[in-house]
Amino acid sequence: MNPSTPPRTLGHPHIRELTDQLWNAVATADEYLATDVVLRALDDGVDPETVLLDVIAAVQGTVGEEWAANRISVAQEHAATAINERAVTALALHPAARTTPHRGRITVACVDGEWHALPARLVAEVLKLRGWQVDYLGAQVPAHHLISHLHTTKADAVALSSSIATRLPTAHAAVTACQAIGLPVLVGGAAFGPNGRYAHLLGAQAWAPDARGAADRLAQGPLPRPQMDHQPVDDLPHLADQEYTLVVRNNHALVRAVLLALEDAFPAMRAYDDIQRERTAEDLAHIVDFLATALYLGDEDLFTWFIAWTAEILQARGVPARSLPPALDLFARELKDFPRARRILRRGVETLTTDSSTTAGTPA
Amino acid sequence: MTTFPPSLHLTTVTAEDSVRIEITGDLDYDNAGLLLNEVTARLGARPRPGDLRLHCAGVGAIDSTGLSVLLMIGRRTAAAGTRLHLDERPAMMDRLLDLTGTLEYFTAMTTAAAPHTAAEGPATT
Amino acid sequence: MDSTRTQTVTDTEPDFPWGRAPYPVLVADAAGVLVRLNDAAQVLLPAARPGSRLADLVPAWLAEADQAVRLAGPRSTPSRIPASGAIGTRRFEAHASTRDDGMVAWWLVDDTDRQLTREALHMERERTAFLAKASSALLSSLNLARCMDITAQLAAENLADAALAIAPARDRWLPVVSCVRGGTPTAGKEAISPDDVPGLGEALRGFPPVPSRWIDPSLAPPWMIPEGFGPIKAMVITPLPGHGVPAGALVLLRKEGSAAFTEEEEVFARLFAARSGAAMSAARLYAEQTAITDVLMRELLPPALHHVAGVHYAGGYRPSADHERIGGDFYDVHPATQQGDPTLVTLGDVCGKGLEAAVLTGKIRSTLHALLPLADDHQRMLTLLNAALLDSHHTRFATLVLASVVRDGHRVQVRLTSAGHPKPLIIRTDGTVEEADTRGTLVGVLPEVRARTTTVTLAPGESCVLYTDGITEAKGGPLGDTLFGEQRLVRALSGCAGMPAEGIVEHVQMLVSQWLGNRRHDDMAVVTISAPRTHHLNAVDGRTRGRYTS
Repeated sequence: MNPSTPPRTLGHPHIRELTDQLWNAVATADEYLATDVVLRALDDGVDPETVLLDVIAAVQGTVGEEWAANRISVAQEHAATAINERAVTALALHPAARTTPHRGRITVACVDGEWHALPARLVAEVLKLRGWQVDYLGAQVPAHHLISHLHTTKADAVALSSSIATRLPTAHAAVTACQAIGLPVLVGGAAFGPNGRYAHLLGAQAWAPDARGAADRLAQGPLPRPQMDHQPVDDLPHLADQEYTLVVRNNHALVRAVLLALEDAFPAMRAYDDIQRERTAEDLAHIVDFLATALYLGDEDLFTWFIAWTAEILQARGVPARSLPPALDLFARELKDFPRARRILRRGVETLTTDSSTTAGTPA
Repeated sequence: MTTFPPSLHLTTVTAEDSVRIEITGDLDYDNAGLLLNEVTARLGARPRPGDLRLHCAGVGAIDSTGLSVLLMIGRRTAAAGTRLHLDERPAMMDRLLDLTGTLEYFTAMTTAAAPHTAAEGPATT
Repeated sequence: MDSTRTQTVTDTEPDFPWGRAPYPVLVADAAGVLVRLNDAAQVLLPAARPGSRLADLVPAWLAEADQAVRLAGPRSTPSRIPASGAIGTRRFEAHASTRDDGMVAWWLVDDTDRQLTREALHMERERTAFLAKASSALLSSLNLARCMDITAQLAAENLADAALAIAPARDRWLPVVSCVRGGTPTAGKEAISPDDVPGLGEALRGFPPVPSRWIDPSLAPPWMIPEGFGPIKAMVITPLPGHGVPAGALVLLRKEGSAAFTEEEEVFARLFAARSGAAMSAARLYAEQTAITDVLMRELLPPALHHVAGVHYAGGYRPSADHERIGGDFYDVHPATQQGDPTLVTLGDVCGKGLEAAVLTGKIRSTLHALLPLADDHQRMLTLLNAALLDSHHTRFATLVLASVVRDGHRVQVRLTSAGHPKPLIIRTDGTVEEADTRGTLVGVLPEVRARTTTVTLAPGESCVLYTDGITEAKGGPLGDTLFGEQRLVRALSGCAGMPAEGIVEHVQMLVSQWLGNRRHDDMAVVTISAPRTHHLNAVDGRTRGRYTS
């Protein structure tokens, strides 16, 4: 969860100060203080968009960093996010944020399985501030709901958000569903990779790095209409080898097999309690998810990036990453008839041995 | 993506004055209706059985629809004057009956069901 | 060589047996001078006489072909594609045969009809392709406004200089989308009576059945003419027939200077109108159905929760089928009618799934609402609810939790009664998670219900979590077949100490949804009742990162 824009001190001298105050409120789970900070800033005449993107989004970015560095738990990350959400709600109700729609109509939603709603919420609020009529559908929107909503409203475009790379196959389905009914799609969020490389691959009409970028892109003029005779499968010809389908279908069997094999390789694991065992299984399941996504996209870098990131996260939590290469080898052994998967896994092992570290958004 | 539930298998053994139905599988939204049909058919037979024993050891899962079906069976057996026994209940089934306050009801049925056997003649409810 | 001689000679000489051949034949010598021609050729080229230069007699295309044949010489293989072109009003294919002495004979094959057929076929193919494209664009949407946009735009691009799609009025406003060729469709509403425009009223009513109608362009009302369009040369109104009901009308406009509409074009416009009419009518029916469903559904959707009487509430719901918005779980928060009285919170689960279950939740929710005056006596409420639900025909039951919530200073008192429902969980400040000590029978099947009520006190920052068994029965996890279970829920909640109500709900929903992956699941509902943290617990010096960073 990178901040959608780096905190900026331009424009208003108090932005840094406001950001610190909000971070304080969020870190101490003080929702009243959080709301106060935001409302006071608006009362003082700070531009609502600045408060949304340079204060709230910046603080949310810090929340993600704190989690990655193991300074807060997932539950605390949720608490912080909930408080930030309330701050956004408070902002939206402030007279300074009141606008009359004078542009088109945009539907904003998170793809199914995406529970990080705040980035999409920020997009929705910024678009409202910029004069769009916005239908905000929230987190985890199944494609079915999205499509029936689009049939009943006359949106000019759809903005879809996803922060988790493993939701990209689902995101692709949502993008093509919107396009099938003639609507152009703008995508955003960490899932779409550095510079939105997967946005293009999955045939989105546009990509934006953050809420401001999304609003700017939409302000430039209407997105190109999707081509009605376009077949999504043409974008991903490698899917013909069925590796993605088979890995997804057998993911639990794979995790189980590798878990057992790991216990043979690391006798210490046999002493794990249920919770530790489950954590390990979850880590393995996560590897399979990323492997499957890399297979879907035909992109090995996604996997190596994930492996490097996982090693970093494990390190931050004081867990040595030395069980990662053997786990990848065991997966490769299980997937002996899957040349693409094996190549991806090998690249993963190489990443760990050459110890290249990257910085990127969170995959979870 | 969709996993289909294992189907429900019922094995019915009819003895002199009792019917025993062995349940293997899930008593759930998709399947529980089968059990109700089977029981209804048996209760309609002549002579009407004095005891209906549902052998539950093979029950895989039970959801609210499954419980609803058991309650309907309870009602029908009571009306027919047949004693209902839920035999060899797995622990999770007991937990559900306990949580919903129906364990007592089913236990009471086993012992206190009308002792008269409606073996002959039309049913009087 | 004079003309009279040739005329009598052409068809009789034995070395020129083609005199009466049905195709025109022209023979020229090596110098390109016409030597012979048959009757058919004479008819085609009345001025032709032997002795004239062929190049002077025939159109350029044939003269060029003749030149080419001579250059290539007698041994060359004839070109696969014969030369062709018009002579007079007809089209010909020209086939040459060359003799060793340089004499060239031209056979002209009349190709006019085939050419016309080919052109017609080409146009037909284009039209079919356009209709196919129109169909797929129109069928992709179930939105009436978008279908009207597509109709107006496609018509403007392919049938006219400008087009208007008009839908039947719902009130006194007539929805109109107009589009100029090369432009984008613009939607508007006109407060006019359709009968003021000749042909429009009938087209919109679909009665009496009328074909497309030519309208005198001078009768076109100003609203029909796009801005800056200029004078109109021709205008036609075509009804858009729907599925047995009129879907609207299509108006086609051509500018001064454009060709008028041919009869063929009009027939074609009707074919297009049939497709857009069907799409608009389907979209309209869909919109009507959706509107009905929405109204009925609104009553069954779980409410949005917020703060009531100094207590925080949050709720989350996920129905079992992702394509449905409602199911068998329900919750409500009923604020007290008298200040100081408790707020009543209900959360429950009826057996079954989907719409049928949802309808039963509606019945239960309205019954509970009606019983609000008795909210202080949970046992009595349950007894009355049970009686209301008892039905001899079925054993559909509900399990639920009643919670009467009242703020008491900084603390919150919660009186809890479970009727056959999983016990509420209480998250204490220190992360301890307690089960509420309440139990009771389900409602709706047994003649009597019994329940035991308990009271818990929430200190600031503490929460009480009500949930349905869809949460704990969620099957999944990394190995795919493990129940989420109460233990895992308790463990998750113990990490939620001090969290805001929404945060807890979202956290639980996220964990369960991760646990499930893409697997099937039951309806799932969570409600959190939280005692607000007192203001500014922590000293804020602008730098401290608070206790979370410790």
